[in-house]
Amino acid sequence: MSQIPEELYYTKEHEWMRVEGDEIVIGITDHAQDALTDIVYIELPGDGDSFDDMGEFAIVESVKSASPIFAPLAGTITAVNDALEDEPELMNQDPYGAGWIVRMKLENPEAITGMMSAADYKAEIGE
Amino acid sequence: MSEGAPVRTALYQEHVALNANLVDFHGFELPIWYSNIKQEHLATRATAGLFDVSHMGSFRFSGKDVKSWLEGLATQKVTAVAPPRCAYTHFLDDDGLLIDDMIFAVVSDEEILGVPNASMIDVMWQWFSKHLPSDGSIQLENLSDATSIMALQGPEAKALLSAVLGEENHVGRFKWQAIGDNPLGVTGWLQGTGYTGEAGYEIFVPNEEVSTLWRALIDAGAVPVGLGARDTLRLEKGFLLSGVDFCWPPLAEGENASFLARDSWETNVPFGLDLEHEFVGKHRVVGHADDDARWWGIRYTEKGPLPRPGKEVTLLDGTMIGALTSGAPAPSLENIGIGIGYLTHVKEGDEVLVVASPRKSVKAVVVRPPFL
Repeated sequence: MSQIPEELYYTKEHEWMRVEGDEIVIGITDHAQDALTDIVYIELPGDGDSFDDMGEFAIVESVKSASPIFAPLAGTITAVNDALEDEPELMNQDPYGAGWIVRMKLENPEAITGMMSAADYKAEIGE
Repeated sequence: MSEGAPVRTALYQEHVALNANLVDFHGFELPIWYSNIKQEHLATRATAGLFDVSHMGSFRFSGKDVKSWLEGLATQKVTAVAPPRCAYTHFLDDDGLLIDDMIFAVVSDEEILGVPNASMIDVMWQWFSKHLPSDGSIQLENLSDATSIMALQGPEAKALLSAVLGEENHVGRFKWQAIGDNPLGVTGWLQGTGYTGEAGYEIFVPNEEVSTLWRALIDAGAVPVGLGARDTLRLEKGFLLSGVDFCWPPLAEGENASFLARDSWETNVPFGLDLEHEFVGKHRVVGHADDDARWWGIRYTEKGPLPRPGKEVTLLDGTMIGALTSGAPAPSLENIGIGIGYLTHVKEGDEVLVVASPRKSVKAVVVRPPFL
C-alpha cells in the first residue's frame, strides 16, 4: 500500500497537486516513485515557462527508463525545486515533501476542482 | 519467435513465487527485475547474483574435424582453443556482417558446445546446417528446448556453488566441466563464463532438474537477478548485446536501417577476433579505413539527461559523429551516464557531446570499455 495523503489532488499520470493560495505545488506520487525505482536524474523546466494542459514539463529518469511528467493543468511555472538536480533521490525518499518538483500558477484556478481526489486515485491504482 | 504467447522457461513458477516483474523478451516470458534493478546489479558485483538465461540456446557440434570446421565460420581461432576451455567468437555472413556472437566450450577435440542468443537460435541453426560438410562428418544437435541455463555470477559464486554441489563442482574462468556427483543429484555441465564481467558460472542442466538447483542456490544466499540488471552489468563491462548493439539481418526500413549492421572490426571488442586464419566474412573486417565508425564508449563528465540508445553524439562544434546503441546510468559508478555507440573520427580521451534531449547536450569523454 502506498501513501496517498487525503488533502491532495491527483492525476491518472500519478502526479499530486497541493493548493497553496493561488498556486499549486506538483510532485509524483508514492506509487509512482515506487514503480520508477531509483530516480537518477530529472530534467526540470525553467522558472517562468508556460505549459498547456498535458504539456510535458519534466522528464524523470530511472536506471531503465525516462518518463515524461505532464502539466496537469495549463499554467506558468513560478518555482522549480533545484535541489532535485543534485539529489533526484529526494523524489523516492520524500515524494510529498522535499521531493516536490515545481510550483505553478494556474490559468484557471477553478480547474483544480475537476482533478481526482485521494479516494479516486486510490481506486485508480487499485489500492 | 515473438508470435503467439511467449514461451515460459522451466523456472517460470520460481519467478512467479519470487514475485518477479515478468516481460516478453524475444518471445520468452522472463523477469526484468525481482526487487529493483540497481539493488540486483550491486548484489551481483558484491556477492552473487543468480540469473535464468534459459532463453539462450544450446548447440552441440561434434565430429573428428569439428574444430577446424567451426573455425572456417568463426572470427575466433577455434583450433587454438584446447579442451576444456571456452572462448568468445563472432559469426559473420558472406558480406561480413555480424550474425551473432557466441561463447563456446571445447569439450574435446571432437565436441564443442555453443550458446546462441535467444532470438538467433533458428537463424544460427540454419546457418550452421547450411555449412555442414556433405560427407556427414560433422553432427549438429539443438539441445535448446531440453536444456535450462542459469548464470551464477559474483565474488561469492564459488562459495555458494560449493555449498550446494560440493567443492569438486567448480571450474575456473573460461573452462568447462561436467557436473559430478552431488547431494542434489543434478546433472549437466558447468562453464566458468557469463556476461556480467564477474567471476562465476553458467550452469547447464536438464529442464526437469533446474528448479531444484535454483531453489538450493537461492536458499544458500544467491540473489535472483532479472534482465534489467543483466543489461547494466554487461554495459559497464562493454559487452555487445545481440539485437541491441548489432542486428542481423539488417533492418529493411528507415534511414538508419543499416546502422546496426556491423562487422567484428567495427564492434571493436578486443577479444574473439583472430586475423591469422580464414573465415567467412573476413574481407569486410580487414577492409576498413582508420576513420570508419567503431564501437566506442562514452562517459559523462557532467550531469544531464541520460545517454539512452539512439541518442546522437557530436563533436564539441556540433558535427554529428554517430549514435549510441546502449546507454544507462552505471549503478557501480554512482549512476553516472555511460553509453556505447558507433562513432567516427574519435580516439580515446576526446571530448564529445551526447544530444541527450532536445534541450540539452551533455559533455562526455570517449573511452575504451570496460568502464570499470
